[in-house]
Amino acid sequence: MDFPTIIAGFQDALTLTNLFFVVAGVVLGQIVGAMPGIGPIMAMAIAIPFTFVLSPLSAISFLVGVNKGGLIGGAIPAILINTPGTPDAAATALDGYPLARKGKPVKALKMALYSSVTGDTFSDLVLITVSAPLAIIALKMGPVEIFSVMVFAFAVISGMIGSSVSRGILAAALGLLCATVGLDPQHATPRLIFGFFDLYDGFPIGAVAIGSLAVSEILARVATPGLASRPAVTIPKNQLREDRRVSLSEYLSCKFVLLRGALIGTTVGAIPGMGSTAAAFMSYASTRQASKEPEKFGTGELKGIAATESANSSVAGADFIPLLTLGLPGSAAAAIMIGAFIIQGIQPGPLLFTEQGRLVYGLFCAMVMANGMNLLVGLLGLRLWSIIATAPSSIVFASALSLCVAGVYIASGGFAGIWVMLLFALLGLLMMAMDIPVVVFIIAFFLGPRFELSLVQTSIILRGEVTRLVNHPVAILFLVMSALVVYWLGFRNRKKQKPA
Amino acid sequence: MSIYRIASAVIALVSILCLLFVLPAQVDPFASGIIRPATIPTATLTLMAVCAVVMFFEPVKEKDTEAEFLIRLALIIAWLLCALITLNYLPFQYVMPVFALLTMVQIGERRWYWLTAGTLVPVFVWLLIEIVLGRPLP
Repeated sequence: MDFPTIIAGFQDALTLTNLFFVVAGVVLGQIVGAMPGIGPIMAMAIAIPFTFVLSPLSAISFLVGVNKGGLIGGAIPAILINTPGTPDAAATALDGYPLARKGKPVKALKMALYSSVTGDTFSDLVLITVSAPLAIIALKMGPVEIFSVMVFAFAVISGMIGSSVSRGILAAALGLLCATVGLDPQHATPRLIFGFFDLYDGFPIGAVAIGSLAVSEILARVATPGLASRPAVTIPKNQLREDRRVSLSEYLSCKFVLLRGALIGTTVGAIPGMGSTAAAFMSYASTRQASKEPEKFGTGELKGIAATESANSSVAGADFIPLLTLGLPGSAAAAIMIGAFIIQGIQPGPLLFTEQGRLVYGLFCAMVMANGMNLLVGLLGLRLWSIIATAPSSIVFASALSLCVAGVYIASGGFAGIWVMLLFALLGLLMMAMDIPVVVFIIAFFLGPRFELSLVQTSIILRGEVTRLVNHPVAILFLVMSALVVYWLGFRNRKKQKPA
Repeated sequence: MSIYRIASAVIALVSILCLLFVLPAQVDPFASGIIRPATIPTATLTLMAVCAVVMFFEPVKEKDTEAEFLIRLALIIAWLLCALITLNYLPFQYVMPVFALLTMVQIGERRWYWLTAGTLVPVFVWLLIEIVLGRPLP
């Protein structure tokens, strides 16, 4: 990667237009994160069709802003209502809510904000440092190795997300099956289109993402009785200064907690399938274990908030490591990001660094900008978002459904997309009812075409003989590891599910 | 038999039926090359059938699904379906506000100001997309 490309990327990111979309994304992310039940994933899925008209950098920067803003927004209802806006904020409620009940809601919110921005910035710096060298290594891999890495990623994701390996594999298989609808990439013959010519290009990506991730979730929430109102901790108007701010000494007293959280979050984020919720709870547990006063945790301890928020937010940057270097999304947010890249005509993966280096470094700059904006918008908007956190779900979900219909219509250019959205919403509901992970399904769906292409290339290179794999030891290693992962995770789940 | 096991059996059965009847009818029987058009669909359907069989024998934790939830879910899906069908005949700005109002009432919202605000949101969406951005909506 040459220096002028890096500078050009930074210049692209530092334009007023791009800054506007980063800020817009952060504001939207913090708002939707503050609304329990919506969250950044759903917002990103709904926003995808509207990013069509933007340049690739603005579109991706906007979605990055939504994702990062949502991580902070999710802590607001966790602290004020004891209802996490996003699953990864669940651990934040353990100490955030008790601190709010003690009359220090603003202090808790600010600690969450500072910790989140610290963790996120740390993981972004790791991403910027390690992704280019990793991409160089990834570029040395041939189609056979890439195929085996994809199999390994599917094995990890299928095993880690969801309640059992069989459900994970079933979700991945269903995603791959849905990805085969349309023209076969090798022979250009139609597959599984059932006479619908609209399906020649396959299921529209936006309609599938919105249907399975957003509409199904909204329908399930709307059908849940007792959604109308939630009691919240109100922010007192006349608070003492020390009760509504986090002093520098208080922040510095958490420096090792923040570092530990950021390290855990970054490591977890770089592994496909583990997710930010696991990172938050792991960081909370290890901080509590390392503390001299573990009994204070759960009663409104600042270190508890710092541990969870630094960990769950640092996953956001690290998520991009497998995404940009191998083209493998490890979470729902990364899967949506892949969808956005594909819609813009860009294929994430190691070649991105050589073919779209300017975009990659523009994206890195936008990520750092989003962290700064997250802090600024958070400080200015915390009180306002705390009011939004108590807004009625009725208006939120009804509005979201209208946006879904409008967004899919625009993205797919007609009614076919809307029907596909409804079909995948119903499929998503069925999967949720069966405990089949929708995230695995969507990741497999997005990776499907690339997986098939890799398989075709692998079969040509090996000339159909599996024995020729001996010439590809890295591929063998990944395939063996895949089998071990499936066996180990399946064995672990079986032990977990056995009645005591 | 638990609902999970019945559903697992249905998934296995559907996968096998698709393998035997749907796939041959919907995928070109292209005979050249190692990876054929039917290779991935066949592999995924086989995998789905196997996983469904494994799920059938797995121990499961039963979830209590309330009848009220199912009725509400059926209602909201029916309304959404009606709204989408009506969109073929009437424009977005007429259909979606009514749908939004019905959705809010179903959730339990009774405050007139929230109902009014929620009904106006689809109109704003229409204004923004069709009038400001100039992109056609149904």
